Amino acid sequence: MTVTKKTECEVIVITSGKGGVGKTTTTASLGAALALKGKRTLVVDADIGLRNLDVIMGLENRIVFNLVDVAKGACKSSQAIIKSKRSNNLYLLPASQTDDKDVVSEEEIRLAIDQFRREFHFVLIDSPAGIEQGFRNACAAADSAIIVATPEVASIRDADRVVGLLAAKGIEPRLIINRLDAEMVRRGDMLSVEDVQDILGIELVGVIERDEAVIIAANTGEPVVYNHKSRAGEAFSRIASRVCGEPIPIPRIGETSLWGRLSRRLGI
Amino acid sequence: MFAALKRLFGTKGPIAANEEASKGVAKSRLHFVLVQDRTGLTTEEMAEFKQELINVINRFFDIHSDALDVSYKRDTGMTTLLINSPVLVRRRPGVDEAPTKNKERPIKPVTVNLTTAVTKEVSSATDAGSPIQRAKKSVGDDVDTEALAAEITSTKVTDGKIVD
Repeated sequence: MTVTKKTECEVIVITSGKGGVGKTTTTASLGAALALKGKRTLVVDADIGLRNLDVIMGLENRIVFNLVDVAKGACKSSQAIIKSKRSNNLYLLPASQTDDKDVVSEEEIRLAIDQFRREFHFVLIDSPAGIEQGFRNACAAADSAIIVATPEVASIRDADRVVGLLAAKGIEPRLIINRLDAEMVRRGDMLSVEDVQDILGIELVGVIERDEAVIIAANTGEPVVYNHKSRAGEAFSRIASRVCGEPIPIPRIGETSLWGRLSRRLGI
Repeated sequence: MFAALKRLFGTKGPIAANEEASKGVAKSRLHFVLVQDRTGLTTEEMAEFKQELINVINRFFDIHSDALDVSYKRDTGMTTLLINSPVLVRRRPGVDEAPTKNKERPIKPVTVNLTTAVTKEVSSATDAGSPIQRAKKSVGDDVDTEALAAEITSTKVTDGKIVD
C-alpha cells in the first residue's frame, strides 16, 4: 500500500551508546504516539540476538518473520511486519533472536529498510547498545537520529561519543533526556536539563521524568503513551508532536517557585 | 528566629551547600573525561599540551599555571577548542592610572581566551597520527596549523588601562 512518496518518509535511529537508558521504551512509545497522531509508523528492532521491542509492544507471540529474513530476502517485506494491538497505524518489524549482529551487513539493512519508505511516514529503528556492527547497521538507513541519555555520568559520556560518531556519518542527532528526577535536581544531586544540554551541545527534543508507569507498561506490554495518567506518556506525546515539526515548548523541570525556595531555606 | 534569618540570608545556606553537592563533582569529572574523549589525547599528552601552552604564554604574560583550563565545547554544528588562562596584568607605575590611597593595589587578573574553531568532529579511533595531524586530516585545507595555535583576544584592556 503506497502511502507516501519515498522522500516523505523519515527514518530515525534511536540510539544511546550506554545500555539500559530507555531506547526500546522510547522507540515503542514514540512510535505509538506518532501513530495516535495519524502517522503510519513502523518500529524496527535492530538488536539482533537480543530482541526486546516485541515484548515492550506486547507482540511477542505474533512473530513469524524478522528483520534478518527481510534483509536476506527469505520473505517479502509485507510478511514480516506485525500490526500492533491498539492502532492500525503502528507496525513492528522484530529482530531475529537466534542470529548475532554480524550476520547482516549495513548495505543489506539499508536496502531492507528502504523497502518500507513508501508505506510509512516514520520508521523508528531501535539500535542496540554499543558502537560496533549492531549500531552501524541500525544507522545504515537513518535520515536522522535521536540520542537517549539519562542525567548520569556514564550515560552522558557514552552519549557524547555517539554524538561524535554520528557527526562523522553526517547525521546531526537530537537529544531525549530520560529518567529525570525533579527532586534530585533541586537538591543538587542530579544534573539538570541545562547541565546536560550544555555538556552535549545538541538540540533537545524532550525530557522524560522517572515514572513508575513505564515499568508497569512494560509488564503489561502496552506502550506507556496509552496511559493518560502517566507523565512519561504525556512527555512522549509532546515529543511526537515536536518530531512532526510542531513547536511545543519543553516544560521546565526541577526548578522551584520563589516561595518553594524560600520555604526550603527556612526549613518549613 | 535569628537562625532562620541567617539561613535565609547567610552564605552557608542550603543553596550554597548544593554547590558542594554531588552534581558539582559530576560536572567537573565529566569535564575532565570528555576533554580526553573528544580530543583523543591521553592523560600524558594532555599534560604535555598544557605545559607547552603554559611555557608559551609565560613568555608574554604572568600566568596562573594551575588555573589553565582546556575544554572542547560542542555547539550545534561546531566544535571549539577553548583554552582559558587567567593572566595577571600588572599596572605599570607612572604609566597606568595614578596610584590610589591603597599603595598596594591588588593585581587584577585578566582572562585571555584562546579560541580555535574546529568545524568537524575527528572521526573514529581508527585515525592514526598526532591530534594535530588527525584534526588536519578531518578538516582538510580549512585549517592552518599555525593559526590553530592562537587567536588571542585580550578582553577588557583599553588604552593601557584595565577596565572592568
